[in-house]
Amino acid sequence: MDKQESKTTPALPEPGLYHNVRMEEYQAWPFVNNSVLKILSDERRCPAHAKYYLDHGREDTPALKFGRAMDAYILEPQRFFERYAVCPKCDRRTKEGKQAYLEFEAAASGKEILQEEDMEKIIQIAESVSNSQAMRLIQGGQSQICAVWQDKETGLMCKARYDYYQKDIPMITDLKSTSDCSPEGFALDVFKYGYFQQAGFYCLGHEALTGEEPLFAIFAIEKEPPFVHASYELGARTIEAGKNAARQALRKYKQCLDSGHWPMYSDKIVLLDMPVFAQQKFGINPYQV
Amino acid sequence: MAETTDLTKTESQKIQTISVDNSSFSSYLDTAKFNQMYRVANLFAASDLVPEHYRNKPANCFLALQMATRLEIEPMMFIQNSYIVRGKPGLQAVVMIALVNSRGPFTGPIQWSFKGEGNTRSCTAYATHKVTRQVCEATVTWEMVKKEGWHEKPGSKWLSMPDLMLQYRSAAFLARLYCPEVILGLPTVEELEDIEAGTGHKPVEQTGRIEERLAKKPIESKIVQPAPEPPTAPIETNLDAVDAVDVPTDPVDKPPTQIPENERYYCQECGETFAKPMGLAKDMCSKLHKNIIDRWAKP
Repeated sequence: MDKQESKTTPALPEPGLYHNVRMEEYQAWPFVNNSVLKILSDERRCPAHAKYYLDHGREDTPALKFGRAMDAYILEPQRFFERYAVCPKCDRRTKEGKQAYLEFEAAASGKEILQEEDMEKIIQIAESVSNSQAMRLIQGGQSQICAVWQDKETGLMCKARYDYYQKDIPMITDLKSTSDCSPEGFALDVFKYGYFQQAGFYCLGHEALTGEEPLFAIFAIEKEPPFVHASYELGARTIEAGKNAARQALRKYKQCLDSGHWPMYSDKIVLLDMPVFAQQKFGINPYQV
Repeated sequence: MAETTDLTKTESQKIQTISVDNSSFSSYLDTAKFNQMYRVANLFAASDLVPEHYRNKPANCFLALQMATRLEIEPMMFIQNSYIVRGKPGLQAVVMIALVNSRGPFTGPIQWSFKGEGNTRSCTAYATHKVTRQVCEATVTWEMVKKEGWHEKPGSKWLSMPDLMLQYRSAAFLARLYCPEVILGLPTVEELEDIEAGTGHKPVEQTGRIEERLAKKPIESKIVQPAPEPPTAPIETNLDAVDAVDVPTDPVDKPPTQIPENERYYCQECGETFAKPMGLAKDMCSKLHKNIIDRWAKP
């Protein structure tokens, strides 16, 4: 690497655990993260989707923005307004409202803009969780720890960002905003949104770095009043399933990377029928020869 | 074992010698038998009269035909009374009892005797052996049912008709113990289903470890009021600031942000000093004293 290049290209981190890394910085590290592996594990998406994600990033949704802001407020309150500016209520359909918004945007100087009603919700959530037993999950450790490691099997460099880490236990905690944090409802979310794979992937990385098997906790918070919350420890079987899913996705990633081919669902013409229940609904016996 | 048999005479009195395999495995090893059984299996698979686990599945039908042949029972009867639970075939208990009664090594049909009530209930299936004249028996107790967890399956027949289930299960034990050759060692469907519900595939309760490890930690309110920097302040952190490999033992504390004098507020309840966050309508201190909003004032 020549001198000029070293000036323009930031050095990439070695395997390890890092604290104090800005989100933008973390996102720029060209390592495999859970988001891309989740796409590769999803039966309803294909490697071509993963490639698009790698090239263009993920579309930011209001739910993602809210979750991120909630995490930041609860985990790093001192730094919250370094990253966020709260937009006062203004009617952007009127001339005055538009002007007020533009002025606010300019004053916000590149910070992420949060709507006032979301901010109010987040404050109420913080109030609700503040004195709960679940706070033990995010005490006595450090927030926003970045992990970088090399996967032994594929040789791929991987990265993860723990919401909270308690070294003495050792335990990784992840905050999740949800519409239903009941044990039944959230157990489905753990599968549906791939939280089990995230836990498995993080644990694989942590084990590779420290040789210790961490526990994985989720602090689930409902994002609508009365903002109830629950804390969960993911069971060993779920973590193991997550590790299997992550390993499988890493292999697929490696295969696509090596071949340079990120296939769609199938190159062949596939015979397609409606699901069995739909055929039966309209008088078809799908079992008839 | 293959053997050579004079099988047919043609009209021209020419004797044809055909090699026929009459061994137990002839349906697999004899081409003609295999082909014929395969055709029959296809026919069964295409029929609406076979249960769903055999419908459109000629391979399943082929194996069922083979088992029916070995048991020397009508293939349709076998197909109608056999089930597949996680890839394992099972016979209905009534078919098993019928096989033992008609072909078993006993002088008469299986008989049963009951003892006790409730948790002490037990059922013994017994029959007299033709050769040894000994009474052969197998007992199933309610204690055993509970320990194996057979009654835990939703809608379990063990709860609605326990005596009948005790008879079925004790007969199955007797058959498997004294004449497994009569039933080809097959289990009953009820047994297979109970294994699913019982300890065989039942998830083992896991014990949470976090609660135990966190038990000694006191709870303290952690969320403090955000301390904003002026909107124009640049965000500092670059890769050089990234800590090396290990996480520092002590949390990295950021120096408190300087709040301009004229923007300083304080909470009368706890005395905390802070700035009003930009655009935030409702203010709170780090102790979340939101309800004392009227008592806030500039020093």
